[in-house]
Amino acid sequence: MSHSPSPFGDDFGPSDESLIETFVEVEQFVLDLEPKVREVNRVLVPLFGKCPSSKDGSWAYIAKDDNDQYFIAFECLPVDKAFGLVARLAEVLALVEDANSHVRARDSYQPDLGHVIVGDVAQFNVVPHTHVRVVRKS
Amino acid sequence: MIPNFETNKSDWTIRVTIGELIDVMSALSMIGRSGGNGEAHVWLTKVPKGPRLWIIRERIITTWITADAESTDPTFALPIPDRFIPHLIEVASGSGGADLFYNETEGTIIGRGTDRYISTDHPDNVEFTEKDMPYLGRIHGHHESPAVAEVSVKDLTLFTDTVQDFPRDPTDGSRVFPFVHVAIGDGQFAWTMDWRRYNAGRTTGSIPARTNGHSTFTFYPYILARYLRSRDDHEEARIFVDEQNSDYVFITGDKWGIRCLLDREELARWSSEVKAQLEREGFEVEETEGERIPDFYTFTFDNLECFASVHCKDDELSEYIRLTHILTTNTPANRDVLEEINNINATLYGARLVLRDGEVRIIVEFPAKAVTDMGSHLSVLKTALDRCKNLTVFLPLFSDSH
Repeated sequence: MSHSPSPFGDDFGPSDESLIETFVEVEQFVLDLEPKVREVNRVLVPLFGKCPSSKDGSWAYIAKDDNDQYFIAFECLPVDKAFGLVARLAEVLALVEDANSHVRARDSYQPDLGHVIVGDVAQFNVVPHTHVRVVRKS
Repeated sequence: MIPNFETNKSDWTIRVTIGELIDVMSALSMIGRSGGNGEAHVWLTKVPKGPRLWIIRERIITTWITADAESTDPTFALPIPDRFIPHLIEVASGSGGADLFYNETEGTIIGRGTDRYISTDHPDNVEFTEKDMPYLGRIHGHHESPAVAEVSVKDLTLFTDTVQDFPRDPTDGSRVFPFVHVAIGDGQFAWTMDWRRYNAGRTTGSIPARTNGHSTFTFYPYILARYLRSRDDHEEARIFVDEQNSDYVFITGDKWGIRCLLDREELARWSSEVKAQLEREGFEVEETEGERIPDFYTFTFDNLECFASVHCKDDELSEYIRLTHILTTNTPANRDVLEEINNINATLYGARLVLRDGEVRIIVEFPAKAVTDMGSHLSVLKTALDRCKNLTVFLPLFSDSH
């Protein structure tokens, strides 16, 4: 009975070291960074609207630095769009200050697991309005 | 007069299946609402781009059931009286389901089977609020220590069995049954029921779980246990706590979920009585907005802010009430301060000064069972407050900033 760590058996496992490194990179990309970028965009897009610089409106994307290390980068903005963003941030700041007695941002952000664990019911962005009893004359 | 149910119809119709109606009825029964009082109602709404959602909210638990939605399902939250659900089941049986719609001149909700109708008055003055939402994502990221346990519903039977294993005569006069103590982590979902107060000892259990993170919490488990007994044994359930000191624990299956309010047993046993006694003594107690029982009540005594709180003794079987006033803050624990505190404590009766977290506090403690003696303990607090008046000037002199 084979005890090969490869699901394909000894003859078919990746033997090329560079290939293994690539797999590790892809694994890091898919399992680690990609959900984080999605989480960042999930929060930023409703808050700031779609990013005017990216095709799909995302604000964050995965990039590599000169040392081949992955990091989360944010789109560059033209000057006028940047001031539009600052104006939006000022609005958000006013809202946050207004609600500050109840809601306080933490230093370290943790992704909202509810969407993964609780399922569909975590998809609401707003409270549904109530169907009220209105009786009109016939 | 023969009613005409097909006139003045709303422009929306919701086609519900008998299966989802039976699930809703089952949930109502499991949480003890099958009798259907006049005011209780179920909310029917739709997840954006998602399934149909039935929500049943009680003080301690909120439960929900999802079902396939049709593209025409409205997105508002429709209140449907509990008492209407069994009638809808009857109408739907043999009809492959029922159509729900609204009569705009009668103000009634109508259920229609193939050739049968049933209607009821639309509830008045009810509003779907944030608290009715099963889960509220928090954009500011209040998820410091999330903990998840995935377990089989079959294994959870051991949990529900032990929770529902009451002593023969479970009464100690407080009318509050024990809360369950739960721990998640290291591949286990574990719990303890403590019936020692009822001369029946403790029961601790554990089942295997795929866990992520660690958490411990307590809650009133009986409604949840009954509900879980009605779930399909072959399912997996996910148990999720958002953070330390979270408001809720969530338990979800494929098409159902339950949100249970986390509270502390000692608060459930005594808090309402503490509040009532303070009010009886003429104090206005600040109301709290949250659903959980507050950790303490705030009241004003001679223009000084005071707090009343309930705490467990080390034996975990008895509690005491603490009345507190914070005299000073930013007070260093140096020799002069401690000597002064000791000197004053030697003159106090039934009260004492303590230095904790840089605060000098006046505290009065007494057994929770003596809560009806609140008046005399408030007098003790008053005497101590008068005795310590000058300290608010004196102690800050020892502060590092001076």
